[in-house]
Order: sequence, then structure tokens, then C-alpha cells
Amino acid sequence: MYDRAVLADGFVVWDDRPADATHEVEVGGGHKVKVYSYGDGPETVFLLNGGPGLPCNYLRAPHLPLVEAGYRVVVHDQLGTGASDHPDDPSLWTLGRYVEEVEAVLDALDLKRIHFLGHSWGGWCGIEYALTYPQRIASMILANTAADIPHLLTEIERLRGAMGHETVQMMQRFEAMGNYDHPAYQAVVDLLDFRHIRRLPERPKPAADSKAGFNYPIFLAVQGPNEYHYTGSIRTWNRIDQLHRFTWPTLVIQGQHDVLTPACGMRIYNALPNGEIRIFQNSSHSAFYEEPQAYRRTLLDFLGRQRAAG
Amino acid sequence: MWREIEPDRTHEVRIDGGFKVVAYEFGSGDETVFCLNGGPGLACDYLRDAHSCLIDHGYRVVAFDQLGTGKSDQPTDAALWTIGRYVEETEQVRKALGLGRVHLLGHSWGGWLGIDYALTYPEALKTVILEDTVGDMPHLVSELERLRSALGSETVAMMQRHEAEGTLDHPEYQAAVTILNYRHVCRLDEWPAPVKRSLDGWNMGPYGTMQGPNEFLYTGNLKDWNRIPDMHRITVPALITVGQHDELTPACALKMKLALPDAELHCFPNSSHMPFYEEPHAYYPVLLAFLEKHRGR
Repeated sequence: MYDRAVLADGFVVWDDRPADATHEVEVGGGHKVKVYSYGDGPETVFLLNGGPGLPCNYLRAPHLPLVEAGYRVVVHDQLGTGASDHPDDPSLWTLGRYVEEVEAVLDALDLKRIHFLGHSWGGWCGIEYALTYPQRIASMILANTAADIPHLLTEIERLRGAMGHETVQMMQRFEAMGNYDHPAYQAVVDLLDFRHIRRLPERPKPAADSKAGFNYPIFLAVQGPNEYHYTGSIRTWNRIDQLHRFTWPTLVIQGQHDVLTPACGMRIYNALPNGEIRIFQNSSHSAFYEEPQAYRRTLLDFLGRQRAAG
Repeated sequence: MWREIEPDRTHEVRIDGGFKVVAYEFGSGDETVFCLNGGPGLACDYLRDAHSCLIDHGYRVVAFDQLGTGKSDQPTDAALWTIGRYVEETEQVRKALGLGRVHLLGHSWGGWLGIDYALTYPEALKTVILEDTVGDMPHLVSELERLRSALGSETVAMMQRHEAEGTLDHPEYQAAVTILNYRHVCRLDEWPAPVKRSLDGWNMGPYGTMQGPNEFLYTGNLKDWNRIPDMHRITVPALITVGQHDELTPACALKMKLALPDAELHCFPNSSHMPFYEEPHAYYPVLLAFLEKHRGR
């Protein structure tokens, strides 16, 4: 079951291995989540993956090589996914509750100072967490995310528009009817996923593992039926005017072809008092798989500077 | 309106090479609509079930599973997949069933076959009905480029990459084909049962050898086929039908009309490649009016 992907020059793209320690953390309502801890360095990188509704496999595996660079890596399966509890209660699928879940995890592990890496939905939740509980944040990496969903939706319209107006009208018709399963509609989603989610011929195994454990009702409640149509509770969320409160160093990462577009990243960057930004030219939403070496270099450089400063 | 009707008679015809071809006959009489379906490589179900209802108006309707499809023999010798051999097969079926002179109805690939048949056996025809088809393949290929382009330049570049590398099974390439199929092959959200039956048994041997790997890439032995310069020799009355959104486009249909001495053309505005299923209320009156006009020729 455990595996790793190594390039010809020995570079480890991703590493899927058992945690050095696991924890079960009570996150309220009697529900427990599974937390995975790797390494024991003094500097902790806390990973919060996207979805929502995906187990953490896809984000964890390409970041475990940080352990070899001396970092402790902590990540958990968000409630409803992976080895965590799977309650069947739609009222749990809110941004506010996930913020409290993150705080419960960090508190249980007594992590007082973390480098918070949030990817995609993990960035939205990370932003909301940092605004609510700024005390533990030493630095942040906001990877392939957005802070202004209404703006993101205009960007997504642009990406859909590149498929031609007849395609967009077909999509709108099926969306109006709620018929997201029609093969013609699904074909557009599949095609756009290869363009804007992961520009690779095949899904890497950890991403396939996450996909296999996808808890769709969570995704539908918060986001929508797919990456190109937002009907969920997040669709009006916008924290751009709060980002001035992020006094810690923050690295913004985006792919040039990202479904959460470079313009979304730039909006975050422009609002940050202490931010930097890096756009990966040949990547979409998953630079850690699409341009793994450049991504790792960027990440280690940023973390190294925080370690030296800290 | 079309409906699925059991044939009155089923015939097994021995054609050249000793192969068995199965033909289906509905109704009786002197006015025979002889159907050549598209593909190549498709059983005749989708075209047969769209036209067997013509018996309600006194026509005899005959369709057959072309060699390699349906209940006919399915040899694997690629040398059999030529338009010339299918012309001879068509003639042998017509003769075996004693159909006499027919209204020849060719759809899509069946239209290409019908054109070559009409040029080879003109005395066998009362009229010719060319549905959703073309007479000039290089022109069609330029039209298909236009249809693909509507998916955007990045999509076309992606398709060209997979075509160049031969990775046509990749889901992102297949996704583009699926979008185009629902736009230019049949615009119904749910494809009719006879269409699904024909597609389920698709023999990719004849299709790949003669046309190509999908509806939007022509690499087979027909890719340079062009009968526009010869079509003036088809002097029987001709009906050309096409959907506005047809993969074999209205411009292709117009090219045939201009080449034929006695042709009328009808374009169905809400159809693509299957007006008989997409706009039946518009389609059947056009077909019946043409047949009535030339009844008894």
C-alpha cells in the first residue's frame, strides 16, 4: 500500500509512508479525527488539504520529503474523510466548524508555532483560521487558493469561456436542470480538470487515493458539483479586506493554468502586508506534482528563511 | 414517426467471397426505399428503425447489415473494407431480393456508398436520397476543423497532441470527442434505443480502415475521396437533407446540390446528424413529399 515516486536523479516527488505518530483528536460533537505526524524537527509544517471532502493523501505524500529537510510535518484527515469519523450530518459541513476543528487539532498536539500550508479549500479554511486564531501562525503558504470567491467565479467563467460559447450554453442548460451527470456535461468537466487541476496524463497514486475516498456531499455543500460551478455556502465568501491583519510572512503559490487563477493569487498578494508570490508556469492546481522540483525549491527556500528568522 | 417494427421478412444473402449478409424487409409493393446506413461498421438498426414506418404510407422498406456488422458475417480481413466492395455488396443484395428500381436512401457513410453505387449502377435507381452526407471528403475535413475550433485553440492543440502521439484513448481526448458527439452527431440528451444498439456493436475494423478513429479525424482510405466532379452523372431526382449542426455540414450538402442536375435540399435547423430522431416532425414530411412526388417513376 505504501509507495513513493522517485525521478531518475533521485528526487523524491512523493512519499507515502506510515506516520511516525498518529493521534485521535476529539473535535466536538463527539467526533474524532485522525492526525498524522512525521519527523520531530523544531519547526512544524501543518498541512491543510483541499476539497473539502478529500482525505489528506494527495497533499501529504508530496510534502513528506520536508521531513528529510528537517521539518516536522503534521496533517489530518478532515472530518468526514479518510480515517476520521464520517458523521452523516450536513450541518457539520461549514467553514466555521472546520476552523474549530483545525484549532482542536493544533491544541491537542500542543503546536504553538506552525508554518501553515493550506492548499485550495485548505487555503480558504487556513485564511479563516488565521483570522480567528492568529496566535500559532509563524508563517503561511497559501497554495493554489483564493480569498475572494465572487472574483474567482468571474475567473472560472473565463476558463469555461475558452471552451466556446456553445459549450458554455450547454453547461448552463445542464446546470439549470441540475443534471450534472450527463456525459456531455461531465466531458467538459473532465477536460477542464486535465487543463486546470492537474496537467498530467495520469493521476498520481496519492491523488487517486484521495479521489477514491472523496466525500462528495461535503464538497457539494461547501463548494458545488464540480470545480467550475459553485452552488455551495462558500460562493459569497471574501476575506481580501481582512488580509492586512496577516503580519506574518506569507508565500502565495499559483499555477499559470490554475483553476484558482494567477489573478486570484495576485489579489491575495496585493492585500498582504508581508507577502511574496510565485506562479509556476507549467502548472495548474498541483505544482507539487506538475513541477515538483521547482515547487520543492520554492517551498524550502521560504521555510528556510522563516527558520533562520525564527 | 419512427417506431421499432419487426421486419416482415428477413433474408440471408450470399455475397462475393461466400459471406452471409442479412437483409430486413418491411411491407411490400413496387415502391422500395432501400436504406444504406452510416458507419462504416454499424449494424443497420438506427437507420432501419427510423424508416420502417414508411410502410404506413405504402412503401416497401429494405435495410441490411453491411458485411462486418450486426447479424451478417464479421470477417476480419481488412482488404474487404473498401467502398468498391461495398458497392458490389449493395448490388448483390438488391438483386437477391429482386427489388427492381429503388429509392436509394444513404445516410452518412451510406451516402458516400450511395453516391458510388449511383455512379456504378444508375439503372437501379428511381431516386436518390442523400442524408447527412458529403461528396467531397477533403472539404469535409476542413469543415471538421472548423467544428473542432469552436472548442478553443487550447482544446484543438490538446487533440492534435494526442492524435500525433497516438494516444486517442486518453480521457481528455475522449472528453472532447464526447462534447462534439452530443453537438454534431445527435443533439438529444438521451440517444434513442436503435442508435445505442447500432453503436454498441460498432465494428472498428471497417470504420478505422475506411474513415478513421473517430468522427472528427479522417485517416482512412476514404480521406481523399471526392465525387463532386462525377455527380453530374447522377440524373435521377435527388433529395439532400442535413442538420444545421451536422458534423457533415450544410456547406457539404450545398456542394452536392450544386453538383447534381436535379436536386433539392432541406436543412433542419435544430438537428445535427440525425434529423429523423432530432426533428422527426420536420423530417418525415420532407421525405414523404419527395417520395410522393416521384412515386411510380
